[in-house]
Amino acid sequence: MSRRVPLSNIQNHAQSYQLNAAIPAKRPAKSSRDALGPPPAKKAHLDDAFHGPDQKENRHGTPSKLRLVPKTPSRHDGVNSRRDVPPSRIARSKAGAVAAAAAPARRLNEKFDSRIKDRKAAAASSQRTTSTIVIKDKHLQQAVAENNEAIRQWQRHYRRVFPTLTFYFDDSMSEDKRALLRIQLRDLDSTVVDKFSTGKVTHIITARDDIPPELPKDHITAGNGTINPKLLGVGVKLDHRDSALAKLNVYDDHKDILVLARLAKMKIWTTEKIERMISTLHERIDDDIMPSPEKLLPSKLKQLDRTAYRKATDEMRLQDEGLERLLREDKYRFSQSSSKEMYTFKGPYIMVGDASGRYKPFIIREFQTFRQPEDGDWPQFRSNREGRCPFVLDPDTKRSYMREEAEKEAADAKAKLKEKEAARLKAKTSMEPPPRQQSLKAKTSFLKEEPTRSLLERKPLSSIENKVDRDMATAAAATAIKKTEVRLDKLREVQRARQNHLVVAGYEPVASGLNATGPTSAVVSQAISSNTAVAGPKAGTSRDVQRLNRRVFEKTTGGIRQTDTTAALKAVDEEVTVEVKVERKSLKRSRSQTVAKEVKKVPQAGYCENCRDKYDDFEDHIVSKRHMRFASNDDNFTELDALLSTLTRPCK
Amino acid sequence: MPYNGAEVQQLDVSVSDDYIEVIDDINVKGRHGGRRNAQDSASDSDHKSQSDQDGSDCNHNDSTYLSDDQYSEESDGVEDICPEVQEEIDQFMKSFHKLDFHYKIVGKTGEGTFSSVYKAIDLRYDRYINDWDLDERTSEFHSPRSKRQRLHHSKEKRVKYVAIKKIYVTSSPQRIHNELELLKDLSGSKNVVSLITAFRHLDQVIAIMPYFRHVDFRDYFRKLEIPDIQLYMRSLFTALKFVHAKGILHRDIKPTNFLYDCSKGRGVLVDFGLAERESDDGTCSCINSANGFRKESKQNSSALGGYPKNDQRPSKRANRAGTRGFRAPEVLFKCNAQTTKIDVWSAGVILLTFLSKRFPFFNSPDDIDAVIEMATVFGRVRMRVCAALHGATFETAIPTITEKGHSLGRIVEWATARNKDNPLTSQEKAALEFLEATLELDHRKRLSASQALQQPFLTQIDPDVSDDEVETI
Repeated sequence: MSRRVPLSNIQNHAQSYQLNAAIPAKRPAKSSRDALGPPPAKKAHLDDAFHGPDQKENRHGTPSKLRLVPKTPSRHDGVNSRRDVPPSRIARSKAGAVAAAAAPARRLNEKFDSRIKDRKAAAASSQRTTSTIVIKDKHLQQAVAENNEAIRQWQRHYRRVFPTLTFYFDDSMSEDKRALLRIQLRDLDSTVVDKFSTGKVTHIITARDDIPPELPKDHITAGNGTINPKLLGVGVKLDHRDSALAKLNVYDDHKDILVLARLAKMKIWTTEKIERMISTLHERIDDDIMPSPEKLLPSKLKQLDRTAYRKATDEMRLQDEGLERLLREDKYRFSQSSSKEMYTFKGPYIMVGDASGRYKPFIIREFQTFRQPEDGDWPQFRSNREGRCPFVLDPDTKRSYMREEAEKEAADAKAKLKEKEAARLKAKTSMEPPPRQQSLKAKTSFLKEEPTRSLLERKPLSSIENKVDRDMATAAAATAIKKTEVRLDKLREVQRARQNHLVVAGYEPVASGLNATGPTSAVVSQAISSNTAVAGPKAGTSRDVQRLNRRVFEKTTGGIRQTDTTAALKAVDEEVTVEVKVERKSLKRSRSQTVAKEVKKVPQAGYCENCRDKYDDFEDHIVSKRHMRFASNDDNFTELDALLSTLTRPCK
Repeated sequence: MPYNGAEVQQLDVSVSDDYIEVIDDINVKGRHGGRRNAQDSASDSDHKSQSDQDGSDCNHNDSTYLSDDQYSEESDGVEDICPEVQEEIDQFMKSFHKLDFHYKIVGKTGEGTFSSVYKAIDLRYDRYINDWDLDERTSEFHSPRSKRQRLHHSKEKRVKYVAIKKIYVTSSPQRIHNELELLKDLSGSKNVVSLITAFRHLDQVIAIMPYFRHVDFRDYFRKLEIPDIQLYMRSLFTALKFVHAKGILHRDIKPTNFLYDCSKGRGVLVDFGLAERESDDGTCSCINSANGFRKESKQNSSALGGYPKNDQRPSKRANRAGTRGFRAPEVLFKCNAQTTKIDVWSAGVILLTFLSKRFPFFNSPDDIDAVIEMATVFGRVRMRVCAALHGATFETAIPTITEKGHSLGRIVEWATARNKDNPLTSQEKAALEFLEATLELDHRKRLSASQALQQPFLTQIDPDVSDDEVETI
């Protein structure tokens, strides 16, 4: 009982509680949320009905960090009377509370979802003047502290409880998720069994949705009558359960493990729920973290305005930080269930995501399929000269070609050569080079055919990098997934160039007699252009050249560094100089002389942390009024100056 | 006259249009939009360092030339500076009026995303207490090996060099404060750069640090014998131990930030621009997980094989500051409870570079490629387990990523073209053992810096080579 005390100190606790108690345990199964709804997280509670405030059911709830619901439930119901109004955090929890007779547990469970957001919501609600509750700061602080204490107690409690639980994962879960959860649960000293046995298992974890097929999909338009609490807020979740129950009743399929579990009075938890539980158990609770409502609200409001739910009352908007998240979740689930919204990989891919499902995957990349994996342009071991990066194709011999060719046209010839070599390589399974003379001949002939082929194609890696960089420059806060999308979009075009190059490069080392094959014969000898290297004393001098390349390419983004490049050219050996010159020439050509030759100061774009602004030209920016205002205001440097004053150089 | 921050602030610097003519070399532009404080974006400090190789295009007047001893050579050095850089230096000196009173810049040794570093003569060296001058303090311990070195010592009395780090004015005072404060806290180790002084004028902050003679990593990384590598690594881990003991993560361990003088067998860790204090408020699942990782379940997992197109979920965020190719797996998996072990990983990558004689070993143009490269080495199973440790899922269908990956020994063999006639030496095998313990995907099992220093690989160094002892201060 003691662990609940702090909760009841929170405003509205009692209120919610009473509300909860007033509501019948079971509601008629009705309009399913279809795919829109979250999984039936709380089915177990429903079945078990009301056990009183301090029954074991409570254990399965999680305390919210702060619960500040308005005291006027009826009003809220009215507010939410539109069925398509998304459940706000408040409405949701309230309705949930209303819906579930297992009152405290119910409510706690609902809060569980919003646990993190609630603090923000609480902060937000403290500002509301329309609310019937006006909470003073210190109250809020106190409430937060108490609430945090409640969470800590909850954590302590569950750390004791988990070792007594036995989990079983049903088939609907992915292997990865099972493995992860198994690890996490074992870390909590719980038992995880691979075999389902009714006597032993206490909890079943499922990823299923349990949506009965006969229910209308478009439940949003299904009703327009008066408010039914369960359609709001918690209804989002409950409906699920309802429908699942309905399913149970209608199709009492005893082969269904969940049905069996139900009969055996086991708890059925969704993966989301168990993940939330685990993450909450591991969460650190700090009393002093209090997001300021000022920071949260404007953006929140803005986002809400954009949604179709703008008609929701201000009250809801202000209060409900979780709304946005909920919408997101729903959207996500919807998109997940709809194959149209799911992108399916067609080629080799890599994806790293968040196991908890709270975040979107942060590493996604797909590559083209090649019959020979070594033709693929993803990073893989490449056989190349000692000293070189093992993941980068060796460009050595390209230069020896260059040397022998008329330097100015060499690059142009390559493009065509690549294609031919590509064809040849595909035909041949071996990596045997053609006679050298032949290739030279080929080159010179292509030279005439396609003299204007852009050299950009020879630098596929750089260009990818460059593109990505540019994207990032324009959107500083670009997320990983966005980047990936950009990349995927560009992949096709770039890949072609890249692959062409790979093939030709793969050919070249052989031709030059530098066929450095190590013991791992499986590794194919290939070279890559971005690493155009110098046969100098230094290994990996290619970085110089890489840098050069980058700068050259930076020109296309506005960063012209004519003099830099010239200077740097001196630093690298002649062959490279030749190559780079050719490249520059070609670049100039391709950019139709937008580069003035003697441009000295080139605008350097960037981001100023002090002005919190992007600038196009560093030098302009740092003398701009705005920046100078910052620079000349010593108040901005108080802390730094204090430190600097301790750093004076001691005199003898 | 003391030359301190307060004084400099009072200097009469006319703020005109040419106030701090920052030459167009400045790379603030940044490959990542310049937003380096954002946790997710930027902070890719590929090109920031105090050392030469990432430096200006005019760095052919390399420290290896300049670090020679004689004053007269300095003028040569100045002449070597290309006009553009000279102009930049002139402007820079002008912006701090009395700077040239104290320092004479003789060259530019580095240019990064966030700062430029110049080599300068400390004109007023003799007026100050120079605790930072390790050469001075330890010169008697040096066993002069060559005439040239002796010459160096004798001349050094006259000419003292410092490195002047000009932090770009677009850096926030907080960021600068962080770096300087960490540097201040980190004084006292022979293997970690110290801060002589720092001052600001308006938004321009300058840090003066000792100058270290060093050799370009690419000049020697293939030449080092195992005992040399041991010395290098011991020096590096000594630095790391010191830094980590203060609860600080360097975050950017890489050869260019570890200025190593092969002749002395001493290295100095520099550039704490990305460093941060270890924090314990991360919430990654790796914190509470016990050690008992079971064997990963079979790989035939029901992988998603796709992703939602319009994913509205937020992005997972974690500090990823560091350099490509040197990021630890937990950084790539967006662990938000990163520890000092990330530096150990990076050090392990350096060792791998030595042993495989490949630099860089990981190319990793971006984090995605980095994960692929890492997976190519370690295999799917281990990557999945590691991902799970940090609450991430890992799935791939890239054919060249195998289930089990390759052993590091195999990779080194392959990279150095070994065969039956030319097998790995026992020394190399010992090194590989150490390497395995530093390139451990699970940071909890990875050696700490102080543990690393206990390993035979770092304690049993062939005495012939280790006469220049690396001291732990």
